[in-house]
Amino acid sequence: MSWIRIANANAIPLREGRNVDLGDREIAIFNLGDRYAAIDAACPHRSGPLCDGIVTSNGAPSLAGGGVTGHAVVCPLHGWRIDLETGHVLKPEVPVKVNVYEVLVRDGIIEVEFPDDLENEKAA
Amino acid sequence: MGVTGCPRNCAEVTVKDIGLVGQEGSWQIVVGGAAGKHVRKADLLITVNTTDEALEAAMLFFQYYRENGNYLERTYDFVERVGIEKIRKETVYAPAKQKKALLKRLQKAKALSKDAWLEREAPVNPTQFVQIQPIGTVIQ
Repeated sequence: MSWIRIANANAIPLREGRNVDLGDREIAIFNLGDRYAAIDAACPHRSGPLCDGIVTSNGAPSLAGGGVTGHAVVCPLHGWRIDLETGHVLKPEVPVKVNVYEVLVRDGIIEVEFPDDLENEKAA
Repeated sequence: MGVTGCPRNCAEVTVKDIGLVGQEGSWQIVVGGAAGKHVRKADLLITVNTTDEALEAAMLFFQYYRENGNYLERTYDFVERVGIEKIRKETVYAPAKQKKALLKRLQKAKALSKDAWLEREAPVNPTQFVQIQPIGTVIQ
């Protein structure tokens, strides 16, 4: 496991995502306001660019209590909704998920943890 | 949208979301047509005498659809769901005040819209169209 310095925190505007080139893979990093989230860049359906999707709530009850409890991104190609916390596809209901990466901001720089093995890839 | 200059309808505007058919001394405004997977002949909204009235009718329908359509609902579904009679009553045959209000709201929205294609030349922020290359080295 190693942390990779990606970019200045302000490189990703609020509630937007950006595609990041990590050599053998591409990931999408999202600015959720209070934190960042990182998942695989390609939608598991037809490889749509998730970084260009609209960030929404993941459907967890949140509005009543104020503040959003969870986030999801909607793929711009065919509307698949993917949970940014777990990587699970929320819509449609299919047992598919994308990889989720640990991400944090240190000294104004977004850093992503590059895992040695990923659940998805272990199976493959 | 489609505009055709004569009743022979070469631009096939009767299968458009909004169609303007030019006739001798008048315009027919038709709405809710489709020619994709779903084919539907547009309904006649109104026939008017002047170009200004034709544009106004199209704008009234457009704003009414913007305000009452469901998310992702196409005009051919919208017109069938609401019914052309009701749409006529609430747009082109609505009281002058109601029509004026619809047009005003359309202008207000239009004034705020901008051409997103121009962002290609002048991005909103430096990374808008950029794939980010990590600052640090990727060790694999």
